[in-house]
Amino acid sequence: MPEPLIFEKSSPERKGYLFSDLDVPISIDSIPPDALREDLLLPELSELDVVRHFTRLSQENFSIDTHFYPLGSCTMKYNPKIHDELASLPGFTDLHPFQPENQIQGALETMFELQNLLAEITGMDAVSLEPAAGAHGEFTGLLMIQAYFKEKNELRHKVIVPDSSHGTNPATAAMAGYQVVQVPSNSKGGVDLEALKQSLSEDVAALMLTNPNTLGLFDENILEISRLVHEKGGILYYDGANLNPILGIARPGDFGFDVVHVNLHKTFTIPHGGGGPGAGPVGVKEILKPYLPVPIVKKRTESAADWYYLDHNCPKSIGRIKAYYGNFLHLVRGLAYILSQGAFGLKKIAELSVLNANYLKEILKKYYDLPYDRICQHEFVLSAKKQKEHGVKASDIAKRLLDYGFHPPTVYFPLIVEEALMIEPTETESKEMLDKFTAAMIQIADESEKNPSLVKGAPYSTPISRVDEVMAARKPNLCWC
Amino acid sequence: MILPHTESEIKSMLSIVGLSSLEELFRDIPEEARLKRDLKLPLPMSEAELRKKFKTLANKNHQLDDQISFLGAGVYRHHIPAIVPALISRGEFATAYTPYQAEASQGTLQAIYEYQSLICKLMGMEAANASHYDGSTALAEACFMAAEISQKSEILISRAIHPHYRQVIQTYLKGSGISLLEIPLEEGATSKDEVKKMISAKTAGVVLQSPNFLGCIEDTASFSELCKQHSFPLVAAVNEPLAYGILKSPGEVGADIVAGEGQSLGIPPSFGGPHVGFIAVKQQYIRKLPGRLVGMTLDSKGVPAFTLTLQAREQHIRREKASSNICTNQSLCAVANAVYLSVLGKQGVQEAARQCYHKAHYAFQEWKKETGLTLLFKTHFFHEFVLQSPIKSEKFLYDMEKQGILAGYSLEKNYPEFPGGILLTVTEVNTKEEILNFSKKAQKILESQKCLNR
Amino acid sequence: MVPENLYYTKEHEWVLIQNGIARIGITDYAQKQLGDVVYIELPAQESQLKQMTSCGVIESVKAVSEIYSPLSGKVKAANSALADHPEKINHAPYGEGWMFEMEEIQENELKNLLSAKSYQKLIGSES
Repeated sequence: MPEPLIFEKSSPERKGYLFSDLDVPISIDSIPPDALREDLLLPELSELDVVRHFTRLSQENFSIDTHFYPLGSCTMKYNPKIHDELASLPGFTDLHPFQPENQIQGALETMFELQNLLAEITGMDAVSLEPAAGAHGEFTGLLMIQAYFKEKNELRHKVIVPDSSHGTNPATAAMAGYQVVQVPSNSKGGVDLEALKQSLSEDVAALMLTNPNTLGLFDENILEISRLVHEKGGILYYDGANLNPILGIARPGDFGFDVVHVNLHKTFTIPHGGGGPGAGPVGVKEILKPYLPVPIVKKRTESAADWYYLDHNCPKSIGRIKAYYGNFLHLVRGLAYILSQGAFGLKKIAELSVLNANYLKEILKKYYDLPYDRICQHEFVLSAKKQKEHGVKASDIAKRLLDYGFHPPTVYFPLIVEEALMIEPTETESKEMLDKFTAAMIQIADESEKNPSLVKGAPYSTPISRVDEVMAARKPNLCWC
Repeated sequence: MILPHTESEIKSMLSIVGLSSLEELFRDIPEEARLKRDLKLPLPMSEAELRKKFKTLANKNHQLDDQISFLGAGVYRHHIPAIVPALISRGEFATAYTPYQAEASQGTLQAIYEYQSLICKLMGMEAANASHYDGSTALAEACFMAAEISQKSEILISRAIHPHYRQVIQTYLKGSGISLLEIPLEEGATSKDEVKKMISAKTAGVVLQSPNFLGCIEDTASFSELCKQHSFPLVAAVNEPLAYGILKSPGEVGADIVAGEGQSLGIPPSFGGPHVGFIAVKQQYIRKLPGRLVGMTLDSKGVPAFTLTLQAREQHIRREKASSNICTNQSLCAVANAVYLSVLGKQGVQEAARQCYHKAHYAFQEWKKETGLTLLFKTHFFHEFVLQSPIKSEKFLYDMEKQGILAGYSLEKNYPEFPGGILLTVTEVNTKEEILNFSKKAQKILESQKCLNR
Repeated sequence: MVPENLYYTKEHEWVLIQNGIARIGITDYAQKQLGDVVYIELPAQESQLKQMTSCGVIESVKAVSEIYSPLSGKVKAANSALADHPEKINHAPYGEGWMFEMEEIQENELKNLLSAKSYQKLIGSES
């Protein structure tokens, strides 16, 4: 720990922030003494102490602004600074969710416009911007599916997910009260159609699918999958984590999906913030529209000027999924991104994200095992099988990359690839950067063979060396005391 | 934004891939599945055009700072030290991912560990998660936890919990087999007599908030006694964490789980988001916590270091058996909370709470004297209270808004039992002048209304 | 080789029968697959278990697996030392790392379990 804890820098009676003097008389109404707090164990520092502390902490991070960050499935593309400027406008930040409708027209217009653009991009009929993150969007989607079948008086208690799915899919299904059925992948990395046929029945509410999937491969059988699911009356759910490579190329709504969540913090370049906040809008086809969470932003056009309002009057709605109206400032960023790109720009993003991934894959497959050797979409999965023969694991390669100044790829996911290294370069990286990355990966492959202990001992250049995760979990220390 | 690739680079990269055009990259996508037209989107905008467009949109909103506001009801205006936005907008924090690679993420990890610790100190608890979407969803997950801990299926929730929160919990519980029953109120506080009648063999836990949504300070300790007698957890909800600058923390009055909203701690109202939820518990429940947890450990050289821990609870490992499906949280807002609590420190948080309390009480006395508006409940309050308007609350608020004052939140929609009830909030941001101004304007409106009635 | 005197499940629990009491743990193979055990959740004393139903959880840093009750019966005791020292499961899976004991077991259910020889064969095919 190169920087001491904030608590350790505290000095009794030091102040960091000055309030104006209290400009009213002290109230004679006293709080009941048994409700009064005696002590408050917060640190006491000067403003400069706090600035230096958090600035130093920030410098211990790898980030997109400082490093290439090819973390598969996370779409770590550059987050344009103009979006931050726009989202910081006081007209957006200094706005209370309970202000009267006439005072929030700009915010509602922003949301209305984004709803429509996302519907067009995904091929859906309506969009809710409420969910705060991808998993939250999944939950919203499944609750809508549940409400739909409830109204049809159909008791469907199962949700199917492929074995390559994100963990959030089965976790969400369980949270919504569904039994989870897993279907295996076929030799090409897609859904095994025979297994799917056997799992499908009148009990199945939905199939949740990521396409392109977590191997970075587009499932060629998607139309057949859609036919099979719908034939049994089921709903097809699209996990939008990997929407980036098909922007403007294909739309989930056109290849059979009935409900979609979009990760604005991946495809639409909201900064990840070290884990959040994100935004996970959900789009639906007409059949699910009545069940969207409240409120929905609508536009009244009968009067001379457009008038936007929040519609709470949706009797079939699943209800409210979050207080207020979604992660609004992020919706500003998302809208700004789409508007900056236009149709041509979005398509270019898809094309170049796929080109970047394939370029890396073609070079690296000579040095690392590539279990699914075909054209990939925005990402691909290597296996460190060859390196493991020398005792070097995927996690070792990940740590060694830090010494070369690269954030590692996602490791050990998807679970169906042994020693997986999942690489997603994104479209915002230049060829030069990709070449530097491949050079480092090739060097590490060489080190793994000739000097495996060097790789296994990495990293050497980070503020700390490898952490003892076993100790962290056996004796959890989650709070300074 | 423009992508870095030059035409010649694209050509040379394609040749390495063994293709002659970008279209070929998509040959796995069946022809019938493709979009055969361009997306119908507006023409791309330059940075300058974007700035103009969004300034126009922002200007269509009426920002709080340009008027006088006593609007609270779960989202509060407090002074935000300049260093909060400055520090959290550093790219190293803002553009990093979830800290899965500990060695490359010590900054985020330590900041979140400090956040967890600061929340625990303020709430009187022993462990907190690395944040949740917002107060409403954090409270919903806390209800799941209570049911999991007690292995029972009925949650009793105070009617004085934020109406949005109650609605969100109702939605979350669909499909879980857990039901939600509302405890009625007495003088704006949760009725002890009623809750005693409601407790049954099915009760999984009680959800209470103090100060509650109506501003009243609850007698949490006696509810805690009741919960202990029946061995189910007391879940304390929080809308205004700054209240615990002077009031006893939820932990001190016996809460087992505390879940709520951290917006007050350095985050602007932002039209409702992003804000930040938190869940804090006593040590014995740490494995029931949803979401990420940062723990302190050692590195291979024995140096103290931080890492994500107890990950086996989470969806990426336990899949359908995870304690929650949460993945993305509100990390950057949690860091904002940490910076805020650090720079205000002990004295600053006490001072903010003290000023909120005195200003709110001054305002209430002043308004009672000058306008005749009366307090609806006799219960003690912190910085929020309900006034009884003699005219329809919506009408009063509308007339006040025309005078440049946001005079609170009408209870009519969500609490029809309190017709004319208006929830007002006064924080350290409100000045004496604003308070007096309210008196003047309200006086006029109420007077003219009286004349009309005559 | 796996100990001869024990019965096994396909889920890698072992059972030792002594005077009508069944002592249960996980096998050496299982602990190696899991890696460093960090936490264990055992069935409560007195609880009634059914054969091959889940009755607990065992966690390592990046994996988690369920514990299945090899037999039906009542839980007589759980190994409380594991709460603070889960590493005993790694160090001595057949000894100090035992997990719980059951009484009122039905010995006829033993026929549903694997012998040392069949278990060895099973892990031979998995490894």
